[in-house]
Formats: sequence, structure tokens, C-alpha cells
Amino acid sequence: MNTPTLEQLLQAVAGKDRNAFDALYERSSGIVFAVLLKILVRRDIAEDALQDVYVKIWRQAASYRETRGKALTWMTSIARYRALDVRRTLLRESGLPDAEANQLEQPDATDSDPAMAAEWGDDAQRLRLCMDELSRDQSGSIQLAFLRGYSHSEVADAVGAPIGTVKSWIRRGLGALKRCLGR
Amino acid sequence: MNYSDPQLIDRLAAEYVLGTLQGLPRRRFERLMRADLTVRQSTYAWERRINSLAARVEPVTPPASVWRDIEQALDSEHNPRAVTRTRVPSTINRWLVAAVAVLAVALSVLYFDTPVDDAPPAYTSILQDDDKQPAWIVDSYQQARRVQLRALNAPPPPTDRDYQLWIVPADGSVPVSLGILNRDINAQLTLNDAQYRALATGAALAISIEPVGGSPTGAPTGPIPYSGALSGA
Repeated sequence: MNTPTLEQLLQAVAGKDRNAFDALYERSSGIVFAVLLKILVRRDIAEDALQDVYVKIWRQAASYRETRGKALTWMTSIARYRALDVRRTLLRESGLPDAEANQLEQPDATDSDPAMAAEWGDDAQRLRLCMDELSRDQSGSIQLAFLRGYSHSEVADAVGAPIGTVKSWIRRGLGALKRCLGR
Repeated sequence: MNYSDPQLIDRLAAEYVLGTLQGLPRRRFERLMRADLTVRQSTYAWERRINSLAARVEPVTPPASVWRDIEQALDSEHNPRAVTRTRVPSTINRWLVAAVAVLAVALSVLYFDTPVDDAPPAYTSILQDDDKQPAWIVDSYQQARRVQLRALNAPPPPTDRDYQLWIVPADGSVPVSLGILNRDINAQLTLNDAQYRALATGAALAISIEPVGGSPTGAPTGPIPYSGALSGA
């Protein structure tokens, strides 16, 4: 039997199939956890968020539609929005730990796990080509915001540029991505 | 801002998905999304465009304990959700610890600001949202006859709605309103005699979403996104 796609698994999860959910988690939790960890820095908080995200996936699987992209696109949305909210709350209440500083030294992986690349299909490859067309400032700022959940001002601090400049890098970069992906 | 401008909507959607749209503008955009299909479509289009940036992160295998907690959470889904919770799920204990730490800070600020409250709160309740995340801390000062709310993780109510706080009596009778919350996140309510008595015998607190000015019927009419047991401090 062929390995089911994540989309097929998600469809089964919508029918409350626990085995499918188990398989979905097995196949996707590594990438979802990595996304959460990158934004939330703290492992304990990221683990809590991971649990929230998968409980939400379980509950909302029936609302997944193709318009939301691949299963992984949809799950990434759920994970990132949750992580962004938690990150804001943490920053407001207590701040993030020093791990943030250490994290800056870790390079972002440029080549993903081949298995994961397969899960993303063409999406990742097409986006990569379009990201490569941006200026380094534009793609760097967009990546800091996307992968670490940085605000405009945090990106500005990280790259040492004025916030207005960063805002326009991001705005123009996103515009160029849209044009490139629409080609 | 002119939200009917499709270019503006597209730009906001892009920054919403990227995450650089933050704070109130983010919450406003979420309300807009709920209300408007084209706003949702713009947002989904941006999710499809850029979410595979996540492929740039090296996957990290989560610890097995997370899966066990998820399974446990799913198992307990079969039980109907009750307003009163006798047991806090172990998985949010860490959150509670954090919430209590926040509470300690909140209390110290409170004491500093309002020396009239020498007495500690008679009750401290944590209201959870539908995802069982702590969303509000509610301190009830019986002697001073007032209730102090602090939003941990709760957005402002929808623009044409108000949050209303209720006491759910232990005997199952109709909830008693404690009042409408300020749109400000830290609301303070003063209790009359009836509310004071209800507080003493209540089982749980709940926040409902009501038309501006509060429920027209005197009982909750809208969704109840937040609730939690009344527990002695």
C-alpha cells in the first residue's frame, strides 16, 4: 500500500481517526516543533504550544480546505499564529530568556531534510527560487520575521538598520515574492 | 484605515501571515478576517505563498511526553466540558505556575496602588479559554466588595460587543452578572449586596460575549469563551 499523503491523513483525522492522527503527528511534528521552538526559544513553552497545536489540528481537521494550501501549510499557520501570540505574551510578561542571543548564532538550515522537502512538494522549491531573487536585506528581514517571529523593531535591532528601512525591505520583498510566485 | 482598499488588505494580510502585523492592528485584522471572505482569501493566499519558509528549519523531534499529553487531552474530549473543573489538567501546570508568578507581580502592583486592600483576595480564579489556556486572572476581594480582572491572553471583545462577567451558582440556578468589563484589559468591578452573596456561594466564574451594554435578558446570551472554578486563595 502506498504511503498516504499528509492531506489524506488529515482527511481521515477529520473523521476522528486516531490512527491517522498518530501517523500525522509522527510525520509532521518534527517540523512543527522546530517552527515553534525557533519562535518561542524556550523548550518547555514550545512543548506546551506543540500540544495546543495538535489538539487544535485534531479538533479543526474537518475545516481544512485546499484553499489553505498543503496540509503542512495549514498546520504551519496554526502553529505560527499560536507561537506569535504566546511570544507576544511572554515578551510582555517576562521577556524571553538569553537563549535568544545564542540562537542568533545558529545558522538557519538552508537545505531541509529531504523527507520534509518531499512533504512540502514544489512549494518550498518555488519559494526558494523567488527568495533568491530578493536582495539579501529583503530576504534576510523576511526570514527573521517569519522564522523567529520578530517584530519590525526586533528585525531592525538584529540587522542594525533603521526600522523604516526594515519595513520597506519587508514590504518590497513581499511584493516581489508575490510577483515572482505568480509568474 | 480604509479596509475596502484591496491593495491595503493584501499588504496587511501579507504582514499578518509573516507576523510583523502585531498588537491591536493584528487583533483588528483577525476580526476583519472573521467578517470578510475576501480578507480570508488574501490571508490564505499569503499562507500558501510563504509558509514553506518553514522548510528552512531543521526538524526537531519532540519528546515523547508531548504525544502522551496530546493523547490524554484527546481522551478527555469525550467528557462534556463542564464550567466547574475539579482537576486542572496536568499539562497546563507549567502555565499555571507562570500565571501564578504573574499574579504575584500583579498583586504587588495592586497593593502598591491601592493600600486599602490590605486583605488578600478571598478568591483567585483563573479563567481558561476554549483551548484550556489561562486567559484571565480574577481576584475577588470580599471585604472590599470588588473584583479585579487581569487579562493574560485574551483579545479585546469584538468591536460591537462587550465582555460580561458572571458568577455561576453552585446550585445550578441562573448565573448572576458581576458587570461589564472595560474594554481596557484590567477591569475592576464593585459588587452590590446580591452580587456579594452570589460570590460567597458561587461555583464558577464565566465571561460571555454580549451586545454592547450587556445581556438584554439578565442571563448570558452569547458565547462563553472563558470560564473557571472559583477557588479560595
